[in-house]
Amino acid sequence: MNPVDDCGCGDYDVSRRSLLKAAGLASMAGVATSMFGDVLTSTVFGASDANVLVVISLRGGADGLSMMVPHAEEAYYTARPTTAIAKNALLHADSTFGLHPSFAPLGPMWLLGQVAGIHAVGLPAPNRSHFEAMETLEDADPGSSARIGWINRMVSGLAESPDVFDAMQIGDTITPTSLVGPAPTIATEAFSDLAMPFSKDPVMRQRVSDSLHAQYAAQGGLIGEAGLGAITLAGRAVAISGSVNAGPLAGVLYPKYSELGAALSSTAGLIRANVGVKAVAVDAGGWDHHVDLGYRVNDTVKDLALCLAAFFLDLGLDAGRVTVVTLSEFGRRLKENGSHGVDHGYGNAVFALGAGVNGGFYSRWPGLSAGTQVDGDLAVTTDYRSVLTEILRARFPALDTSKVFPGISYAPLGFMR
Amino acid sequence: MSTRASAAVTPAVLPSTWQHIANRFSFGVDESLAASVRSAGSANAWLRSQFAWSTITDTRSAEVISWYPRLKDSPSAAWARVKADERSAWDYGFDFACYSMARKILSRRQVKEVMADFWSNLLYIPMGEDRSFPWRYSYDSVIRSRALTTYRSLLRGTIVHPAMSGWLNNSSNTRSGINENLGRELLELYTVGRPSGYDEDDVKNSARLLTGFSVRVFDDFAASYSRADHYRGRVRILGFTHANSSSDGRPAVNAYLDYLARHPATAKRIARRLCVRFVSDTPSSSLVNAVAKTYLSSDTDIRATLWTIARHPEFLAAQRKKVRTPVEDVVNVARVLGMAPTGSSSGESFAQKIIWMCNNMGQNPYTWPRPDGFPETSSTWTSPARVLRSWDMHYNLAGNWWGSQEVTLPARADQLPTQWPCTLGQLVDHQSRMLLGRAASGQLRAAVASALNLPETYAVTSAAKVTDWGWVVIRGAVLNTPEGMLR
Repeated sequence: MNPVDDCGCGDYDVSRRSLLKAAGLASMAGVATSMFGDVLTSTVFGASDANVLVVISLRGGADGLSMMVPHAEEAYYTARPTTAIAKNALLHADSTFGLHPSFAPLGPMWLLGQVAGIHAVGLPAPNRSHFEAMETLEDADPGSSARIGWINRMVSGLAESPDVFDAMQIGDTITPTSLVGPAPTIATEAFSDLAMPFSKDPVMRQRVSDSLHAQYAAQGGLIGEAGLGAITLAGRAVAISGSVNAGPLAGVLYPKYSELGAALSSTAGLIRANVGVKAVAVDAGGWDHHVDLGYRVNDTVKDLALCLAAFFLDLGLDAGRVTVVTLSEFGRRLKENGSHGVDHGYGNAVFALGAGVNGGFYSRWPGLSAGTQVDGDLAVTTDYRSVLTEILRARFPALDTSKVFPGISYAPLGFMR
Repeated sequence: MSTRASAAVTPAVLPSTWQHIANRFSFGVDESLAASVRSAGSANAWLRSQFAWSTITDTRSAEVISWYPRLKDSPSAAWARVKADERSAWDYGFDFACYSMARKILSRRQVKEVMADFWSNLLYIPMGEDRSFPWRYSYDSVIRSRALTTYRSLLRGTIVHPAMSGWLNNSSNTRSGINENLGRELLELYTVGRPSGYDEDDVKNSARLLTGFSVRVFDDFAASYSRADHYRGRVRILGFTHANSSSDGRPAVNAYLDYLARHPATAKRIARRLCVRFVSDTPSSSLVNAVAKTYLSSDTDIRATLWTIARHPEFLAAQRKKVRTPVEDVVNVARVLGMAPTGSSSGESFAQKIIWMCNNMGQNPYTWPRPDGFPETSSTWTSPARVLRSWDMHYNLAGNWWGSQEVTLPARADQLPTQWPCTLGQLVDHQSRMLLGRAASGQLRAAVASALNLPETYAVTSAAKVTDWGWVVIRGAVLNTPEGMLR
């Protein structure tokens, strides 16, 4: 076990790792073997009390101005005659900001000080292309041409030889840019069906597995490595499938038919299984509100809030080691368009929830008056990498964040304890 | 006496270059496709014959639409059914996805089918999307009919199509309220791309010029050109300028689309994407430049552009370098196993189950949520989880373990040699030649022998002695070799 896993930086005074050891549960650990090149390596894995970061990507460009509403700004109400949210409808409003009413399911967490809203966050320079903005956001190292994502750099910085379960995308088999890089990662829609062929017949399964191992090792290249990874993954998935596929804890209800809910339910099961995951990326699509912002943002925020509320309940005792952050490629234009929607803009709101969060509203608020706008949109006064650095420093103190986000100017806002 | 290739104990395979060209420009080289390459005389001659698609009869593929009669509903009729809760937008989308998959499996016009897929993924509109679904089948028909013509023609047919107007909100882009969505993506995704250096004013002008294409979304979905909504006044977008003084902006839009189609940055962008689909994830700039040059000199001609790719040394050197996407994987396996959908009357039908097979492997057809289409890069589709699920799915398909109905399952004896006895090793080699177009490796023969716990020299005395179990184990193992995942 890597020493950083014993950092004891969770919300418990006594490290859960040592509690588990004391209870004799360390025998849950197992050994995974995998081939990298010609070297056969064995990685010990097992129960872990490491902190976990869950990154939820609000794909499409979420409208931060509707989520964390700057209700004291006349310019907001002028620019959005049909889609602005009235001050008296907002939740937990202070003198500057208030939450969209659909955040109601997060009320209890807000009152416990476990939710922070951070405004006027974004990329250092505007980029109103979905695809470029996402790529830039998730690569997060403009000084390097290598396509390595920040989550990959994060897990690389936390262990000398990162485990295949350190960083995962859940809910989608496509690896997002944030996970791409030298550290092994997994992207999977769910943990069901992650078994070798003939999984019910141990003799046959082993024969087939051995033959495939020989063929894919000899093949090499992209497909060869993926094949060997598949065999490792199947071996490991057996160990967690019980916990993950048993479904949510009793009494926890995710919204029906919600893809985000399904992904977070798997994520909660995975974290409860204590197999050492450090970072999970989850996609929540459907935020590109060019039309009918009013009801669409209602629906998407409601789904997000219900899913997050269920997720933290579903984590049970493990909630104390899990921090969630939401990211989106850009905010929307201040001015609504001809379709009661909003086109691609710039500055945005980010939300941090859970372990280590010091709840409330945070911002170096630039205001919305004409002189402070950037091409008609909310300016960015906090680099999103600074927000992530603040979370990483609080939750993963052993990590050298300057290697995760090279060359940024770090300006903490105090939203993490 | 049978003339089928599979009658021989050691069936002939195509020369590897021919197999390569046929692999890349089709959804799977089955026995009949290999035969048509042979009878054309070469893979290049086969490609040319496929370019002349209208001379190829394609009866079974043409019948598929009759399984999905609702796809031919007029947009107003489709919307009426949805309003009456008789069907949902998703039902229309699901029909469309099944229809599209069945045609990929059945069509004899494979190059046209592959190109219809390529353009559908570039000029991408998801299935069952609320604002476009009543027009989605019509949009597909436009792409199909122009898939092997010119990109200029494709752009004219798709950008102002009512499905696109709904999907990217051009239907509510009017002179009194500009919506930038389509105007931006036209530049970024469908033509010049970001490196061309357009700015936010170009985006706004692009959107202004596109005003007027009305669709009465959520009303009756009727489409018309609305002169009253068209923005009038000079527009400048990159090097294009137009007085745009008429209330009918359509001639100006056509001039704009032609300008974009013929722009060198568009040539580069389209050439690169084609090379990533047909050559490798990392095409060299000299290959991309050569393809872009043909694209420009032929005035965006698609066949000329493909021809340049197919003859390029870098293409010829890239055999088995691309990993099949899950959709390509399922279609290929269905084709080489001879599993042909014959109808779609229930959820048990093969035509419907294949959607869930693709979904299981991580790619549900036409459900990519963003306008940029599924990634064309192989690396995207080569995660361990995907490979694991493909291995399992190959056995499922080989044994029809999902119990698909309305599917042709050729009799085993019709897919086996006519001379017996054969050794187990010979049978593995036979299936490798039939399903992969190449001889079996020693490792593959050993894999099957180990799985069946028999020596490779084990003599099988007749077709009847090949059991269900043995047949699945052999074919699954063949499909699961690394080469079985590659095209």
